[in-house]
Amino acid sequence: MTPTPDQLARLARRLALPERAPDEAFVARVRLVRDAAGLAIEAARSRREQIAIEIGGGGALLLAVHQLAQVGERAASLLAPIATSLGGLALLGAAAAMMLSTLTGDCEEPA
Amino acid sequence: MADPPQQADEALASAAARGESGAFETLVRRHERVVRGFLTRLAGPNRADDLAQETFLTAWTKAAAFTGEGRYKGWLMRIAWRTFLMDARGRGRRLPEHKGSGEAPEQADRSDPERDLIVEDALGRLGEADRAAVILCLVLGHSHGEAASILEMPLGTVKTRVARGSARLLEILGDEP
Repeated sequence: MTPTPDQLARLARRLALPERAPDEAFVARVRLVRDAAGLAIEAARSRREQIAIEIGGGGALLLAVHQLAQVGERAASLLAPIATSLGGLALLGAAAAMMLSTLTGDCEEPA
Repeated sequence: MADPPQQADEALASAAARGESGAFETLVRRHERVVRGFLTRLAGPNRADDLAQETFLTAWTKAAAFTGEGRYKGWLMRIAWRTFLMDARGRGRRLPEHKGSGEAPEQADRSDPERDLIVEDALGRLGEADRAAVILCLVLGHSHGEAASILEMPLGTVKTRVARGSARLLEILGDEP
């Protein structure tokens, strides 16, 4: 049976939603949930940023260590031939001279 | 020419997409009756408010996805329908597939406070897609094309569902003059 337009109109009237004013309690409920969701999203974003900063910091630290190691290797490669060509006594003398120079410098600085 | 309420909805939706919560609140205030009514008829009064809340939360978080094509109300109803389907699937049951008593519910006058229960029971005897199609077209006044867009179904399918659902409701409720 195909309903006639009149039958459909009467059925629509029976099924109609009751008219009413906006439900402010529901509007407030949505506002609260939305605010809570906003805070949760913000917290998740902060956590992500913190993790990114920590990963970046860790990476920078690794790079610094790597570069320090390279500098150390270069210094060692420079000093090694000198150390082998000079005698132990000469090296001791050079170290003592450097220490003396440093100490002298420290003493002069306060004046 | 578009009617002013539609323009107002679109303007408010753009503002909501920019994060203006006041604009979104106006949209909630304007459409909550229809969204909750749709979901009450679909899912029953116990689940309707939670689903409506979820619908509006999705509308807020995905506000930028509303491109202005079609009515904002239609976009909102599509979210409500998807929310209902996800909830129904998540619960592993078809909501609310009332078994009914097998007899037509007692007819009631419009002023009868039990009228809503009778209507709910009658609607519950329809499949959820038929029910949604009938509510959208017959109760909320959407065109078949709009209902097809909301329910993401072919136009012919929606027409069939509305006709079948209406005929079934007339059988159950009877045709009051």
